[in-house]
Amino acid sequence: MADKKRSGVVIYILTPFLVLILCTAIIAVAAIKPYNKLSTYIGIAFMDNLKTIPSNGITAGLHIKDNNIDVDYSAPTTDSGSVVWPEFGEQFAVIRSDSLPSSIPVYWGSSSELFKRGACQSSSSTIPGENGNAVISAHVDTFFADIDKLKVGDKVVINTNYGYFTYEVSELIEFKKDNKKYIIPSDDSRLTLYTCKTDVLGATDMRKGVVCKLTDKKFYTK
Amino acid sequence: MKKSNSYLPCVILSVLMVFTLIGTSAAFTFQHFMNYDYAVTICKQHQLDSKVNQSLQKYFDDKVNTTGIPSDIYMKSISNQWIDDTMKLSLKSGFDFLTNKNTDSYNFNPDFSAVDSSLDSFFSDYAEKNGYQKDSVFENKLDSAKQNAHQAIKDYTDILKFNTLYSEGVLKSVRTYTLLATSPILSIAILACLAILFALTLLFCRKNKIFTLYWIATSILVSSAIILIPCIYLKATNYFDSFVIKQEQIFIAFTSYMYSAVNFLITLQIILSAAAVIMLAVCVIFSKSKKSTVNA
Repeated sequence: MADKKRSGVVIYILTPFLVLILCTAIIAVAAIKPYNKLSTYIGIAFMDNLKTIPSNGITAGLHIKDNNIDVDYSAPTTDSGSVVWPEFGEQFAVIRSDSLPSSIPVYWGSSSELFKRGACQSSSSTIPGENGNAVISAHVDTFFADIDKLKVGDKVVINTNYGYFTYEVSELIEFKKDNKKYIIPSDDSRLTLYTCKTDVLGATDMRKGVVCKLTDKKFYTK
Repeated sequence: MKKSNSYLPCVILSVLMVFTLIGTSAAFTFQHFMNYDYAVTICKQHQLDSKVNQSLQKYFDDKVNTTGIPSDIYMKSISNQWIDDTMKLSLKSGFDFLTNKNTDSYNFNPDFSAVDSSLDSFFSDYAEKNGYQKDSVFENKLDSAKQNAHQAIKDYTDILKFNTLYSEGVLKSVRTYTLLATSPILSIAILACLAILFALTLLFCRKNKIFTLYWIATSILVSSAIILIPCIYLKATNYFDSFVIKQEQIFIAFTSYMYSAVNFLITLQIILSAAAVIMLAVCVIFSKSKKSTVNA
């Protein structure tokens, strides 16, 4: 009699768990198809694993880092080596040319805060030292104000913290902002520098700049 | 319960009741949050008007480099009150579209007359001071500056991104679910369904009616657990903070909405679970007192 009573109590206690298991199993089976359909969208919508919270209109998660780029490296160099990938917001290079009045700091990634500090390299383009198109842009009224002074045949050097890369201006370019011809990846090693074309009043749709071919590359050994 | 032939039907009814209760909670939460009034509350609570103002100021400051138009030309015609009204208009247009199946287009047309007039004056003054000819190029530039300003302001004040959702065709799908979830027919159907399930449970427990409470409590506890576990996970991990759009006003509007819904669901399920525990206690007390009466 006591055993029967005990088993009855056990059944009462276990029944909610049984119902829970049944319901969970039904939901799991029913959710497979919708989950497969939605998982990509959910993945994209909630892809910020750092869970950064924006405040005061400042780009969230932007950690600006300035580096001292050595432009007088004198230790041995090699013709091949590996690049050091910067973090978004990190200054990783300087652009120098005899045709430009001063050297220009280059940050990895593009945002309005970074454009105030120097030129920006699109993180979707190739980093100098690797094969492809390295695309760098800056504002026309600040860092690329003298881009017009670059002529075909001029030498442009990109110093980074892992090597320096010498380019020669091969083409002066002008294109509409929605024309991707000059900023898409290329098979050869090239550097594309561009800025907005100065216009009187209103936003301009035109961009101007230079395309440079790689002539020499040196990787630091130390 | 004592009769084993009533156990299996009661388990099946309990499973059905769990899904009906989950549906009830979801519909109730949806009705509570998917409306214009709640969206306006979020705007007020987080002072989104000043955040939009800051974002627009920053946007137009950044654009000075390429447009040559100082940001104050735009911003002097954009007050926090105007932004608040424009945000409300965007929300109203969005919720009107979501709750009206006869509308085919989403219309969000704020009054840009003050911005336009400010740009007109600036362009005109500039032309006069610099001897710039007011020809068709001038008119095109002015028109383009106005269009760009309109688009930027619309983008920043459309805090729930109704316009983007509409242009991507998502808003129409959302409307289908909104109309369904907010339909009085659905509420009646859910209540009728619950009533039928309660009645059937009572029927199967007619020899020991107090056990009806046990099955109802079981269903409530299980449905609460199914909702509570993911909600607690979402809240504990701050899951919605990983939302990819980091424009402050949109991020705050979206995450506030989601966390409010999660908090609401957690509170609702805790209340329901407490009620279920009381039902179980009543069931135990009554069955014990019944047994002691029989034994006496």
